[in-house]
Amino acid sequence: MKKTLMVASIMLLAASMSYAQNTATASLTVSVGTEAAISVTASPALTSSTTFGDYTSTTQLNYKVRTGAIATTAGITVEITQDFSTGGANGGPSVASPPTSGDLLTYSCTAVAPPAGTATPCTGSVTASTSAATSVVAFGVNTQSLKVGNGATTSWDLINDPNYKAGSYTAIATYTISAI
Amino acid sequence: MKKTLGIMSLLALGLLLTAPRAQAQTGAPTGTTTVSVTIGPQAGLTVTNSSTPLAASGSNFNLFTGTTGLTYFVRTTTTGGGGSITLKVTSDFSPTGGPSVASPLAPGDALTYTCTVASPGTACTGTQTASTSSQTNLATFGTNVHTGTGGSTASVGWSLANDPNYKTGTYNSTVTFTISAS
Repeated sequence: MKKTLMVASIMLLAASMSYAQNTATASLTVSVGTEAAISVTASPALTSSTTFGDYTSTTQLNYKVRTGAIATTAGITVEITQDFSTGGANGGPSVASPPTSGDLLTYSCTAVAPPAGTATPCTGSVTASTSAATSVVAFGVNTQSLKVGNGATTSWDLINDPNYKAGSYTAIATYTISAI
Repeated sequence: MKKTLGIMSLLALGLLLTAPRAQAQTGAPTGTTTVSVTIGPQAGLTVTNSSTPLAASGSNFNLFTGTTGLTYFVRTTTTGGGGSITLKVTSDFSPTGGPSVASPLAPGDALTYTCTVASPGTACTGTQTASTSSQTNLATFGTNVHTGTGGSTASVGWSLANDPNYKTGTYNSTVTFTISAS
C-alpha cells in the first residue's frame, strides 16, 4: 500500500511538471482630446447661367470633429488666402480691391448635423475676406462627428460686373477647422 | 578466581580498544548518492512597461498607438513540447463613452496589435484584433526551445481607432498576457 501511494505521488508530480503557465498584466491608457480635421471634397469652378448673372458654385466639405465639454469658439472658418486678381478698373474680380464696392464674393453655408452636439452653419450671406477668417460652421460643446465625417458646404456667389476684363481668374479659399 | 578475573579484565580492555577499529572496517573510505533532478517545461514573463500610454500624433484623427514590452522565459519539452504567449483584454476601456474592445461605437473601432518576438519565439503574423472574450496569439514556441538566463524580449505594438465619436477624456483598460509551455 505504501509503495502504491508513493508511485501515485511521483506520477502526479510528473504530470504537474509537464505543463507550465504564468501571467502578467499591462494597463493601456488613452487620453482622448479635442480634435478636428477638414477636407475639401469638391470645388467646381464658378459659373454664370444668365447674362451678367452672378457666378456661383458650391464647395463641398467633409469635417471630423470632437469638441470638449467647455464652451469655446470651435468651428470652421474660411479666408481668401489668394485673391482673384489685383482688381481695379478693367481688371478681374477681386476680394480685396473690387472694381466697384459692390463686387463682392459672398457665401452661404450648410452643415449636416453631427450625431452628437451641434454644428450651426453661418446665417445669411457672408462676405468673404482676404484679411480675416469668417465663419462657416460653429460647433457646440461635446460635438462629435461621424467617424467618416459629416458634410458641409459653402455656396459661393461672385458679382458679375461687366467691368471685369475677360479672362480666367483663380482665388484660393483656405478653410480652417478648430476644436478646443 | 583472581587469575580468572584478571583474564576477563584484560579481555574487556581488549574489546574496548578494538571496538572502534572494527566499526571503521565495516564501511568504505568513499560513499556515493544519486542526485537527480527532473527539468520540466517552464514559462514566465514580465511586462517591462506595465503602463502603456496610447497617443495619436497630430490632430487629424490619426490612430492612437503605443507599445508594451515583455521579457519572457521559456523552456519546452524536448519531444512534442511547445508553448505560446497569448493576450486578452481582461478589463475593457473605462469609463464609457470612449473606446471599447467589446462594444465599439463603430464596427471599425478596433484595438489591434502587431507582434515583435525575439528568438526562440515566433511572432504572430500581420495585425491581430484584441478581444475581451478570447485569448489571441502573440508568440508561439516550438519543441525543445529555451531562452537564456536573462530571457528574451517581445513587444506588442498597439493601434486603437480614433473615432470622433469618442467623448474627450482618459480611458484605461487592462491586458493580461499568458505564457505557457509544455
